Amino acid sequence: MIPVYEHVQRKPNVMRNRNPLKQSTSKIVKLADRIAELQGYKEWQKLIAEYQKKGVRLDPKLRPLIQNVKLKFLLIDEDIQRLLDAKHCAKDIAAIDRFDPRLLQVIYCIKIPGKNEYHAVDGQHTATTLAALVDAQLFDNETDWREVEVPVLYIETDSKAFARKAFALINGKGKKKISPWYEHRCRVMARRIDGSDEEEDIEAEEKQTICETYDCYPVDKPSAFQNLPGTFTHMEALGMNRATLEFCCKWHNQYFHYDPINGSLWFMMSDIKKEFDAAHIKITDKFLEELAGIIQGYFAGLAQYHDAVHAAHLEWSRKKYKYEVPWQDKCIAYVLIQLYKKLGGEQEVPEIMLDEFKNIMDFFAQDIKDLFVEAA
Amino acid sequence: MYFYILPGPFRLGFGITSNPENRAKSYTGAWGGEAEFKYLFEGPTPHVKRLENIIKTMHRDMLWKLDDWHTEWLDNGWTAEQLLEFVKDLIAERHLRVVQVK
Repeated sequence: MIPVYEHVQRKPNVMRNRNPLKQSTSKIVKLADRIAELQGYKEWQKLIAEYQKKGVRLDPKLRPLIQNVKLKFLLIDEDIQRLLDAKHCAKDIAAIDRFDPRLLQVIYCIKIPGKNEYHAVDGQHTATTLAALVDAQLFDNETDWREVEVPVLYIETDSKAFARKAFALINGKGKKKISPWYEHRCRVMARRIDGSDEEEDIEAEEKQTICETYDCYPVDKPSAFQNLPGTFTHMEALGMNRATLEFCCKWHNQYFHYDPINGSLWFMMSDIKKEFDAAHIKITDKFLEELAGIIQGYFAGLAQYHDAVHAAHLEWSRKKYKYEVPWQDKCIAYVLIQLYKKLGGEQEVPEIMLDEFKNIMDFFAQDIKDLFVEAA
Repeated sequence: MYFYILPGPFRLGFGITSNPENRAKSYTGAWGGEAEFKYLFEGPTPHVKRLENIIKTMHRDMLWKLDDWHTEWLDNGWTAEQLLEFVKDLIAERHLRVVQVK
């Protein structure tokens, strides 16, 4: 017997007001406000106290300098920098539909004291691409790349060891990496605030709107919003087409609005939609509610269903094949459909979803199987 | 699977276990004093884990934080009875198949 889905009282989703992508006008914050924010952070206060306790003094002359430098004075140490990635230059930096000279980045260098030599520790691809574009006579009034000046941020030292560390820092943990959520945010804001008509900005904003319509909210990881009802950090979900994204969000909001979104939602509902569409089988509201009833009644939500299927898959593969068969995401949807039929579900389902992972339900934990027996 | 509420020497604790007797003994061994679960709930593993998970993620601001680690001890001054009522409400609200056995 399929458990009846039990209604859970809907509360207003707090993300409607707290959603960081909600704003449609730009907000300017003064640097002084940011400083005050940092100074209010306990870890910062502890750090400053430690500086003061240890009597650390900092030399302002050690801060990096900036200067326009002719490209001919740039050098690349192959034992420090990576090899040239020509594909990155051609397909990314100089891609014809994307290249914009205003977006060229500053070159990070080490300057050898007393010499007009700038050893690039970051930006060799930018410098090389720019020089080659000049050499191809693509810039107005510029013919000799050697004489073209670029902004260089540099520190003076004759220590190669320092240059090596600087390279690792700039390309590694020294830079705060832009998260997939932040990239999405940039696109959505470009559309909402600046009215961008670039295709990828329009698409991102449309998908964001689909999510918001169903009280689903992509959030950064980590962030204070994580684990609030309707939030998700699985940004790959936004790679789905609009119809599938809407199908997933709508189901979550209809039945599990009180939970954060578990990543398995996207795999499970998109696989169900894909297989049913391919088999030309209509998905009814009754069927969707029955699926929610199984997830709620036997597993208390998607997160625990996901865990239970993983555990069953592991045991099933060990017993059936004598080794751990690699996990396949489609297992989440297929097992649910098999469970649906086992419990007496009457909706027609694609046969293919019943053929794989046979007998896997025998490997659910005993206390879960006891629930099935109890219901039979 | 069981969900327990445990008044500790410094704070109120909670957790899940498949063997309450052994778990209580391990607290006793660690404290050097007898630990006894004041309230105990029982249910299928997914439902009990969900109950614990709701407290640990969606209500994590109630937890005692040690550096960046959110422990299974409350830091909001609640009594065992207040947590008991909170848990009962969660069970009813979420239709969890968890029943109080102590």
